[in-house]
Amino acid sequence: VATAGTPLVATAAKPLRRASRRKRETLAFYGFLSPWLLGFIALSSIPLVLAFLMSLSNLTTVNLHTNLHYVGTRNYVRAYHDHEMWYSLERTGILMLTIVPLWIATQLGLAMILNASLKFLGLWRSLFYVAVIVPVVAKAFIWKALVDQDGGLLNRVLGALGFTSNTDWLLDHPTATLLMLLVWGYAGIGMLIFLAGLRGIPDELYEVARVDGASAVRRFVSITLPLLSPVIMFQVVWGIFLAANVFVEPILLSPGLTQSFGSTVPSDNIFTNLYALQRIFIDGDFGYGAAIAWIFVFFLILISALVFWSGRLWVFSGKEQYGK
Amino acid sequence: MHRAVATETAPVRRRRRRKRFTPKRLAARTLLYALVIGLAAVFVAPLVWGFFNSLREKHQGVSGPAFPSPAHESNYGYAWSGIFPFSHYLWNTIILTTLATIPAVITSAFAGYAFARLRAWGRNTLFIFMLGTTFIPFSIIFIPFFYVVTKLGMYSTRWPWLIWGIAGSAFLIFLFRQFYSTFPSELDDAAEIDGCGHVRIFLQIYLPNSAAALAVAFIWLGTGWWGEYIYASLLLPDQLLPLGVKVANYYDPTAQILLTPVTLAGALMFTLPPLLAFFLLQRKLARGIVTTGLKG
Repeated sequence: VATAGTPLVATAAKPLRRASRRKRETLAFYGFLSPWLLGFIALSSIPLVLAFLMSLSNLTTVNLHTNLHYVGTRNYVRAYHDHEMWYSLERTGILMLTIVPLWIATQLGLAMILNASLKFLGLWRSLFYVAVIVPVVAKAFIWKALVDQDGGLLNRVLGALGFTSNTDWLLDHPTATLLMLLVWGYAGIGMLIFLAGLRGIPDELYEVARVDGASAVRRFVSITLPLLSPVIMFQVVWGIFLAANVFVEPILLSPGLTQSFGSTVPSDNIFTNLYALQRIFIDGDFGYGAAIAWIFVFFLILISALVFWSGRLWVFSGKEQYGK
Repeated sequence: MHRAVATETAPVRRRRRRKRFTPKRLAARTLLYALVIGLAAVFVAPLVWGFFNSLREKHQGVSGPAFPSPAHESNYGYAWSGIFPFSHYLWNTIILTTLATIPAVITSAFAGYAFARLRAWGRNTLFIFMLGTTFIPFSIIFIPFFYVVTKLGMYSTRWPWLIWGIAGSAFLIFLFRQFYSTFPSELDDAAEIDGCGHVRIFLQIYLPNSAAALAVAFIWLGTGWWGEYIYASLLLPDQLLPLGVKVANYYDPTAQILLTPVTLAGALMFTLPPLLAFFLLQRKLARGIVTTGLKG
């Protein structure tokens, strides 16, 4: 990698060729990357800065062109005193704390079952995965039919088992309904990733453990979990990101007709992303919406830092020995 | 290496065959298959339930016998043309999905190759930045994006979809980078000695060997854009809307109530194309995830 070292071993002609080769490679790298790089500047970097500038202004749909001025931290102070904003953050936190473990348990469970040398593996894998392919609108309406108060499948099953059979899931338990949908609709992706991870664990480890008389639980705790911990870390981080962006499902799962921007979403399902967007598309207040979005980013950075830091304690780093 | 694998698996197989006859193993296997069948039923049940309910009388809710009789398969015809022209919005969906998916897969493959194979100043920093973009929440990007799009006169046009397409997807770039990292780098050196430039190396050596990764990329991004709801509902006027938004509004034209069975019929018709693509590419998809090393 270090160019300074090359002349010592190279002949006189080589450094020149190396230098031009390096230059061509750099040129090719940035050429190949240019569409994404432009997108990165236009679609990620500039919006972040713009959102910050907006949050310091009184920009609304009313004063788009006139009377637009700097208002300092007014929007942030307003957010600090906004109970609904804090409630949306609390709900987002609760969603993350419930859906991430639920996803990981489901994904790992399904992957371990699929890894047990089954017949018709492709069939089972497809059946567990198929929900991921269903578009979100179809997912939501299927779910509405499933949890319907009068005659939904869930209430029918609960009734047959002797529980109450007239729960209004959409209105009274919106987050539980959402959690069920999220597990059903998105577990398949992580399942495939865990399955690939399980395939990467050498069989000999299990053989040796079995010879040593380790029980199935012991083999799971001492071999499977540590060797999968980098995959689990990946799934935790990805799950947090997915949970942070859950708001289309709540809009579509709102009781009654679908309203654009979910003015009928129960307050338990108004997560911070949706709350920020509602301030813009219901109230027309760009400045306040952007301030809430930035506050959300701040919390997400805190959470990610916490997760990555905790990784030192539980992610097994010996994995590098197996390559990748 | 192949020989080593063969000699190792032979005794294992013999041991398994002997095991199959023990009652304990038979019980364990039966239990395992019961579990798999049960779980598969749980995962498929919502779809089946959706299908059953798409066959009820169109003004009825989901009450009544689980499988409606008589079955009103006419709901599918009504969803196709009774309330809005399904084919018009289907065409919109196809256009938007194509605009956002095809360029994105191409630019992501190029970028993935660059991250995997080309050494340049700033590469690792840019890679971290790229992964970082996937963690930016939706609202903070969309709020200014909406403002700028409106200012540039691209509101209620399809331009944003093409722009997203050309910019590529960080997730796909990561996928292609992982995939191309597994290619032997001697390939590049040999090609370079023969005088091939990086564009030719990529187009003639890497791209033709990317079927598995391309299948994963197309399915993931394509199904995502096919069902996309939020961008379309906020940026497009009715005549340009994709089905992902339109299907949510199967109103009874007179009573202004949602016709649940018709909505389900429309939603299932809308689900059919990605479902077919998935089952056609299913084997490639599973292999792609293993070979792209997505495991971390």
